[in-house]
Order: sequence, then structure tokens, then C-alpha cells
Amino acid sequence: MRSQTHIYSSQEGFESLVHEYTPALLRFVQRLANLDLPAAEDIVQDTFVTAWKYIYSFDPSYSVKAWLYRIARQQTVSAFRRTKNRPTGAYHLEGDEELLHSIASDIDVPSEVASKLMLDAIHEALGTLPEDLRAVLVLRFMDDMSYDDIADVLRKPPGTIATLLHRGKKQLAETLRRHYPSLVHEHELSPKNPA
Amino acid sequence: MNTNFPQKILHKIEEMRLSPLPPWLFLVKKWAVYVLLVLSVLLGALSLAYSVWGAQEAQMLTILPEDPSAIFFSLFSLWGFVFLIFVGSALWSIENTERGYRVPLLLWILSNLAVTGALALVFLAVGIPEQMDPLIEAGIPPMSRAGVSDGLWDMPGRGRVHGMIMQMEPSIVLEDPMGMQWNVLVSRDTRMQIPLEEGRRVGILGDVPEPGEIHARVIVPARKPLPRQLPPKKLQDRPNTLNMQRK
Repeated sequence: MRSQTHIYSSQEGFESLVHEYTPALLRFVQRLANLDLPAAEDIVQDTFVTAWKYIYSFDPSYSVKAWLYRIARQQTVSAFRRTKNRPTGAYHLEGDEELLHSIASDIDVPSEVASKLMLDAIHEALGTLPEDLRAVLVLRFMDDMSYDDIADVLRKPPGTIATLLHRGKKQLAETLRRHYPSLVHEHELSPKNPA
Repeated sequence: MNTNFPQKILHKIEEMRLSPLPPWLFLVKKWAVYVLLVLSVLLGALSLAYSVWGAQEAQMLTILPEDPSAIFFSLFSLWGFVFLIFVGSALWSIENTERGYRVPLLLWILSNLAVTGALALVFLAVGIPEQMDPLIEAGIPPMSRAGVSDGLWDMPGRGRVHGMIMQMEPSIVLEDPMGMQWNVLVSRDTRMQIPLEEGRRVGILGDVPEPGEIHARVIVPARKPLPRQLPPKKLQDRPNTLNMQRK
């Protein structure tokens, strides 16, 4: 059995972890839950408090990023449950446009309709997806994670991640078709490739 | 993001005087998962081997063609309980092993079942179930070989009766473990299936037109020693409770 002491279990190591991952985790939580910054900060703070408490449970042979994201996701879901609120808003973050473009291109939205309006619609539609589908799409397209890392965050087999990704894209396309028929013709919205 | 936010987080942790949970706690948890997995496979294999052996001993194959549901009685007595424990522990383990969740649940269950089955075959081959029998008999009698055999063969409603042959002439009389006497009608062919003699314990498969009478189609030796094993008594030493003997 591997030793549980590692670089992050020292105070300096943990401090570097906090400095390195706080911005990414804030973006992740905001995108996952459509939260404003103060609410996201509360969750990220709880994330690091939990991470410190369970720091010896982390196995350094695995990705620390995936481990932190997993805790952040758990904290976000717990926050939903505590407040019984489902995220509904759409807080646009800096750099979202480029990332949303990647989703638009992946669900085969022609470049001419992938306008600002379309990207707003995608952002809105993303907020209506079930949490697991939204998490997969956010991690894959916005945090640029590999299937293996996403599997570690969501604690699901990589095959299931591929299925969720495909289903998420399909559902996103259907939502756009249903709610924004004027933006795009029906035949133009379909997931490009099964993930 | 507020550039001081990471510092604020660290300050908050310091303020809470929060210490990490000790490393040994997580080591114990990890070991517990593996120990549980090994135990579930081991106990599963033992119970499967014992159940299969018990079913063989109880002449299950004789019964199955006429009553396929009998398999549930035997295999799911001890094995069923252990299987539930096994599945529960496997599910718990998936959540708690480092990357157990990466393996699909079905694969987990199937691979564990395969290992369990292979180990059960080894146990059967080396005769472990025989050695387990006294322990099971003492601890959980209904799940023991004798219990399963009693349960399988003590079903007159389904045409199954077992017990000891008390009399051969003028007709065959069998006494079941509850002390009830059965008049056994048997054709010449059926009678040739196994040597019949007084004091022999047999299981009979046939038709029961009325309580106390069975028209035997199949007679098999009851391999198990019956739990209330008594030395054979001579019929003339006993009060004649048989009122359905054939002339």
C-alpha cells in the first residue's frame, strides 16, 4: 500500500495547491452552477477546507487536479441540495466565448450562425441540462480535460463518460432546436460524432 | 477573482485550526476494502461449493427435470445470502477503491462471480464442503446438507417423499422423518432402480393420490444420514399405525 504522505500534505505544498488551482476551480464552479462570484467563492473555500481535511486520502500517483475538481463538484452539488436551488442564471465569464465556440462547432452549428446570439443561447441551454451532463460538457470543452481525468472527477468509467458526453451534446442540440428554432434550421443541429 | 482570495482561504483554514485526518485512517479504509473483497470472494466460493455439493447429495438432478424451481431451494439457501453480501461489498468497494469506479459495475460483478466460481470448483475438488458440513449443521441447520435434502424431499404435495424403508413385504412401507408411514406402490421397473431393503433410506419421486400413499416413479438412495437418524426398528416391535397397507 502506498504511503499517504506527499508534497501536498505539507503546509507549503498545500499553499501552492491553493494558489495554483483557485482560479480554475472558481471558473469550474461558476460554469457548473451558473453562480455569481461570491457564491462560487464560498464553494471553492469549502472545497479547499475539505481537501485539507482529507489531504492524506489523496494518492499522489493520480491527478491532483481531478481530485480537487471532484471535491469541488461534490461541494457544488451539496450546496444545491442545501438550498434546494437549481442553477438557472447565466454568468458569462471571460474567455467563455472561445470555449462556447468549441461546443458550437462540435454540435455542428455552421460558423455563420455561431454568432454571439447563438453563443448566448448555448450558454442558456447548457444551464438547463441535468447536472451530470453539464459537468461532462464543462469539463471536456471548458476545462479541456481528458476522458480519464473526467472519469476521475465524476467517478465513472471512461466509457460512461463518452456516453454522457454524446448524450449531453445531443440534448444540448435538442434544447437549442426546441427553444431557439429561429436561430438555426432543424437539420443543422445534430451532434457531429458520437463521442 | 480577488487576488487575495487564495490567501483568504488559507487564513480561513488556519483560523479554523483544522488538522488533516490522520493518514492511518485512510490506510485502514483502503485495507478494509481489499479485505472485504477477498472475504466476499472466499465466503462466496465456500458457500457456492457447499450449495452445489449439498444439491448433489440431495439428488437434486433427479428432481430438477420434474420441478425446475427446486434449484432455488438449494442454491439460494446459503449461496443467496452470501451473494447478497458479496454484491453489497462489491458496490461499496467500487466507491472506495482508488479507481474501482472505472470498472463498470457489471464487469465487477461478473469477474468476481467468475473468480468465485473457479475457487468453488477447487474447493469442491479438494472436499472442503464435507469438512464444512458439521459446522453448518451445528450453526444453521436449515441450510446444511441435511436441511436442504429434507426440504427438497419432504414435499408430498409435489410428489416427493423420503425416509427409511420399514417393511418390504407384503408391500413396501416407508417412514418419513416426521414419523408418518407411507405405503409405496412400485412397478417392477422402478423397483429395479436400486436395491431395496429394510432399513435403507431412500427418496421417492412419484404421485401422491392421498396422504400415506405414493406411486413411485423414481427411487434414489438418500445419501445423507437423516438428522433424526435412528437405528432401524423391526415393524413387529412397533405399534401398527399403518392403516393403508395394501393387501
